[in-house]
Amino acid sequence: MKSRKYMLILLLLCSLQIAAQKKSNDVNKILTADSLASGNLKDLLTSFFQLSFNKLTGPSKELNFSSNPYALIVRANPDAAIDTNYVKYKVLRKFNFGFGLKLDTAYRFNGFSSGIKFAIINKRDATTSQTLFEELGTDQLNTDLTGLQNPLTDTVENRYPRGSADRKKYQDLINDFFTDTTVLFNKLDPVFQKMVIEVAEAAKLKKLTSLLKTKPDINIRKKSQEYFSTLKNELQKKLLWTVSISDTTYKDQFLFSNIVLQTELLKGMGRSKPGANWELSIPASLNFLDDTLRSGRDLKRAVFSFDPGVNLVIRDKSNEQSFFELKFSGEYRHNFHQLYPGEKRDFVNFNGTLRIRVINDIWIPLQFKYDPANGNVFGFISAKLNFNGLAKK
Amino acid sequence: MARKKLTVNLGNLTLTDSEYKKLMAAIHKTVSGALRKTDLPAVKKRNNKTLAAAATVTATISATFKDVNPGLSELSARHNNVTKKLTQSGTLTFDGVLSGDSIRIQGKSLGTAEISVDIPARPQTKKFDPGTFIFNFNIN
Repeated sequence: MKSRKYMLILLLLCSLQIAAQKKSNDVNKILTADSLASGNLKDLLTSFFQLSFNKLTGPSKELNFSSNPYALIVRANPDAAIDTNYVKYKVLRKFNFGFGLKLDTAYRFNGFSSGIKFAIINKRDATTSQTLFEELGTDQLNTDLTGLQNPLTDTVENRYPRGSADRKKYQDLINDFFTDTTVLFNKLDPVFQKMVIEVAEAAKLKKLTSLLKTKPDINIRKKSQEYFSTLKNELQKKLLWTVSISDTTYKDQFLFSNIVLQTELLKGMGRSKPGANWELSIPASLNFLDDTLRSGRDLKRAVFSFDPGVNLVIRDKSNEQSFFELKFSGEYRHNFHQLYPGEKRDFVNFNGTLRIRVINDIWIPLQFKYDPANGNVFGFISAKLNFNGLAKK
Repeated sequence: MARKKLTVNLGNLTLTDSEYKKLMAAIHKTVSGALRKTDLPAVKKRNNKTLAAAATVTATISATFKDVNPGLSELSARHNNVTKKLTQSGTLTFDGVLSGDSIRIQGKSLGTAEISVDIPARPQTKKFDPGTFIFNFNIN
């Protein structure tokens, strides 16, 4: 009954997502590197802050908050984002910290958790990539637009005298042409359209001329930004490697009930195809737990876990935003310590995670675990809210 | 053009207040009538939103790039065939800017860019998302 209820919620969220996709043809929308990031990446390293409700259907539920200290500094002091200051926060930008509450089946308090994470290698950061900067604007359309500005402005200023209404009108139309994301070229003043094509032809800007003649219903500003979106998508395939340490306390005593040392590597695979790409995810962790066979509380039980997998990212072709992800992984666990009665030293699981982006910053991951030895299947549903909108200055 | 004062020398003439007022009114009437006959341009009230037609000024362009490392932004500004460049947040100045001119801006940044000019212009400030940008400051 309970699982049926969660399936219904999931179906409702899917339909919300489809409705959101239909609305996504908004001409104003400029995509940022952050909006193009996969849900898997957001779980690994958040750019502003993330609130997550984990394992809502499991016996031990978690309410977690994780954030980036730099993002909080910028929230308090927007000048920290200015490039000359931004560079000073290089180390802080690579950190995530988090804390949370553990809850039992009846949603009663079951301990605190906290942790920090550091990105040793983050080649996905679009704000620091020299290669991305060098490639930006090198496509033929942007080169043509750069070459159009001076002859077009000269034409207007030579044709219409200083102070005349026409000079103002056409000067303003030049700015509309280059910067307005809402106006289509064929909706601009017809005289201006003719002037642009004539100047582009005279300056031998072939790509631009052909585009304006064959597809006059384009928005040139939006079209010129497409190349940058492609470059940013490529960047999302680069290597990200993080290390972290997290802990959980007992509910009745401020003592650690477990400490987890974890490392994770994320890397895009193959060539990007419109609509989909693959990510390789390799996490490994060492978990120190209380040995319940011994009296008192300690952290003498050590379990190693290795969970390599692939994540299929399905993107909306109209805006390249990821909206559906499917991750498959095989989990191997090894117990270094004395075994409990009936416990195996080595253990293998198969895991699957389905992530659905409900709206821009909200993801619903549904996690499955399959134990091949006993034929058991477990499922957990969670909710991840990435509050990037609040980071806007 | 500099303003010039018109002075009328009344010599040693002594006048009462009411006579002085009458005389000044007559002088104003006569002089303004004479000015109309010379076809001199009517004096316009100065509008702060536009530059005087023939006055050249110095324009300062300010650029602020955010969420990006210095050096990963580029701004090129051009006026009267003079081109100046920035690769991080800062300012550029152009002398001899006239009403009706345009200062042409183009560039790129991996962060957001906010570019403004300190004299009346259309637009006076422009903000861009990461990527390339091209626009003109059209001086009022």
